[in-house]
Order: sequence, then structure tokens, then C-alpha cells
Amino acid sequence: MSVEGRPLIEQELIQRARNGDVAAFEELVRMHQAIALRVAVLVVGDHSDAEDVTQEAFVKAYHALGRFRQDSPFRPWLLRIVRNEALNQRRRHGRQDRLGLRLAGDRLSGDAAPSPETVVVSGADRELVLAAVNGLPERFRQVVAFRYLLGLSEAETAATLGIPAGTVKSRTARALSRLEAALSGVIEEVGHE
Amino acid sequence: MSEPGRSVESLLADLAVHIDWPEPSAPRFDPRLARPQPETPRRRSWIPVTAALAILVALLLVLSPQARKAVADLLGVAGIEIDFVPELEDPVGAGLDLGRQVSLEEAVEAVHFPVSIPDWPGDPDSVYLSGSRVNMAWAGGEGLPASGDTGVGLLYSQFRSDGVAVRFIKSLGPESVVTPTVVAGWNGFWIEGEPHAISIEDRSGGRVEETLRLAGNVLMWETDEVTNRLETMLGLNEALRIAESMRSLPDR
Repeated sequence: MSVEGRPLIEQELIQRARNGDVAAFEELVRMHQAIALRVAVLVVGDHSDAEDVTQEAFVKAYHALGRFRQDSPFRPWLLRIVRNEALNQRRRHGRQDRLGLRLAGDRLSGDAAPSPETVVVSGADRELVLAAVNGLPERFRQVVAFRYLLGLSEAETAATLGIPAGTVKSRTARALSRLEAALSGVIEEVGHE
Repeated sequence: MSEPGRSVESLLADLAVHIDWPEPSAPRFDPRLARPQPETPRRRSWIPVTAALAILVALLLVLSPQARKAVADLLGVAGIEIDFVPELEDPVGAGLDLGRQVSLEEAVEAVHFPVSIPDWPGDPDSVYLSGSRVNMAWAGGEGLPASGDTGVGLLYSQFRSDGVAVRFIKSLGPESVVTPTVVAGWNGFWIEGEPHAISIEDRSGGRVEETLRLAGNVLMWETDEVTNRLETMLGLNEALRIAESMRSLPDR
């Protein structure tokens, strides 16, 4: 979502929160809590740890709000803090760098709805897709996760990861081509359905 | 013609909706939010003095060619022509033992970590490579008071942290104060009051002494790959603004 697309209410909430209105900040948290939790889960894996990470990150964000540039989008600013806090925690716990995701079984997760592009995939193939994403080097895996699993735009991914948009684009292209090679069997199977 | 990438994208779209994402719970009030937000620290009283001096020096520099021309005219010695050529200035940070001067591209090429620069003040005036450490220097100017006679307004050092967390920093300045702080979610330290050196103890108990170049303040923080150090005459809030605007440079 771009700055232009930011709802007026968000700008008002940010302004009020900057002036010390905790209720306004909690409303902001409510608006971005779901995506923040997903960012944390991508890094730390465990749901309960992700909850702790986001709580800690929100407190840090609240105290950093005075330095938030109002002409820039809020969501990636917040998500950057969440991701960095998650990396802090992962390092504290000496955990490995891997995508800590698990599948939800047959049910669709959260508020997700299948997009028109969604294809019919068996559970076994889905596990292969997850394993292939997990097998990508970190710099490729994170852009794939942010772009395709979290649905962030190229610009938001760049701002959250603190890298140029051009880098997001080139890494995404290279990651997709690696996935294509790793999943050629699954892709063919899908193509015949 | 079919697009092979499209199939990968649709597999990823399928994966996205089948991941076991956590359900957000109702936000709970964290009592730490009740603590008021830190106000912008008052600038130290010597900063306006430094700024005024900088303006004066700048004015003198602007005026000096005319002044020298006037002197030449006054001399009026026939047959002698005085040429004014631009002075060959040392690069910003020269003499501070920052390493070998390189271009930004050379620095990115030489090290095995993502090299970052801040949105503001933008590209550094000089870049140095010292082993696998990248040092960047910016000249003092508007909003960036210079340190003493070095002319340097900001010094930024980056080096790979090898996953070894900085656990403890002891400031070796006589009156310096160390305050824990947060840089875009990363943990860091703010050392105010002209520390001369800082001592870092890593997780394994090893201790490294870091020499400081500017008689200013220091902001130090660690990302997942890189240890970062800013030396500046600015206050904490301004230093944090610079640190939080860091973006890594494009892939090689």
C-alpha cells in the first residue's frame, strides 16, 4: 500500500500517537497486528515467540514514533522494526536461519481467500513447494516470503528489508527461476490438471 | 506461449493461503507505553557556536579569492600575474587513519556483507577500506556540525559481526555516559560525552578495543550481519534518524 493509499484515519492515528495518545497507538497496532505477526513468524517460527516479538516491537515502535517520517508509508516502517526485533530474538536463542512455517492442513488460513490464480495442489506437492522455498538462500527466501506469502508490494518489501527496490526485483526474479527449476515436477503436474 | 514463472507464482499463492498463520489476539496494554516518548534532547550549547564558526569559515572561504585578488591588485606589480587555482584539498577524513581510500563500488565489492548508506546525508564524501571494515566520512555542513579541526561531520564504520553479539560496552572516556537504545528494532548503545575509546566484549568473552576518531558522540548498533558505528557531534535523536534511514546498496 502506498502513502497515497494510506487511509486518512491512519495519518490521524499516527499524529495522535506521536502526541502521546496510547489509545491511538493501540488502534494502529490493531490495524497492522496480523501482518506484523506473520513477519515475526517468518523469522522465529513459533507462534508464541512471534507474539512476544510483536509486543516488544510495538513498544519499540511507540518510542520511535517521533522519528517516523510522516511522508513515508507507516506499515513497512513498523514491519521493519518487527522483523529486526524478531532477528534479535532469534539470535538471542541461537536459532537457525530458516523459514519456520508449517502448513494449516486442509483449511484455509486466517482471512485468506483463494485468488483466481490459485491452482489445485495436493498436500504432498504443497509440502514440496514449502521445502523448495525453505531451501533458497536467505536473501532470495526473504523476498519470496515477503512478496508472495505476505503479499507485500515491491516497495514495501524494499522498505521493510532496508534494501533498494531494484534489488528486490532482481532477487525475486532469480528466486523464482530457482524455484521453477526445483519444482519442475510439481509445475508439470499442475499444468496437466 | 505459456509463462513458466506464472506457475511458480500460482504455487506460491496456494502456499500463502495454506500456511498456519497465527491469529492475532486482542492487543493488550503494555505498561511501558505509559512511559512518555523521549523528547528531542536539547542540543549541547556548543553546537550553535560550532555552527556559527562553520558559517564564518565558509564565508571566509567564499570571500578569500576576492580578498586575494584585491591584494594582488594593490600590489600592482607589472609583469607579474597571479593565477588562482583551486586548492588541492585532502579527502574528507584523511589523516584519521581510516584505511585506504576507495570508491563506494570498490568497498561494496571488497567486503562480504551488505554495505549501507543513510538517506541523509546521502552518499559519503570519502570511503575507506581498512581490512574488511568500511569507513565512510562526511564533511561537516548544514545540520552536520564538524568535529574540531578535522572538518568531519559524520563518520560511519561497518564491519561484519559474524553473529557474535555485542554484550557489553565500556566507555573509556572520563565523563562519558552509555545509554542503551534501539535503532529500527535493533539493539544499540549511545555513548555521549567524548569517549576516547570503547571496549566491546563479545559473547565468547573476547574483548576488542575500538578507537574513536572524532571527539563527539557514538551510536553503535548491531544488525543480523553487521556491527555499525556512527561518530557524530549530533545528539541522540538526530543520530537515530540517520541510523534508521540506512539502506543497503544494490547487490553486486
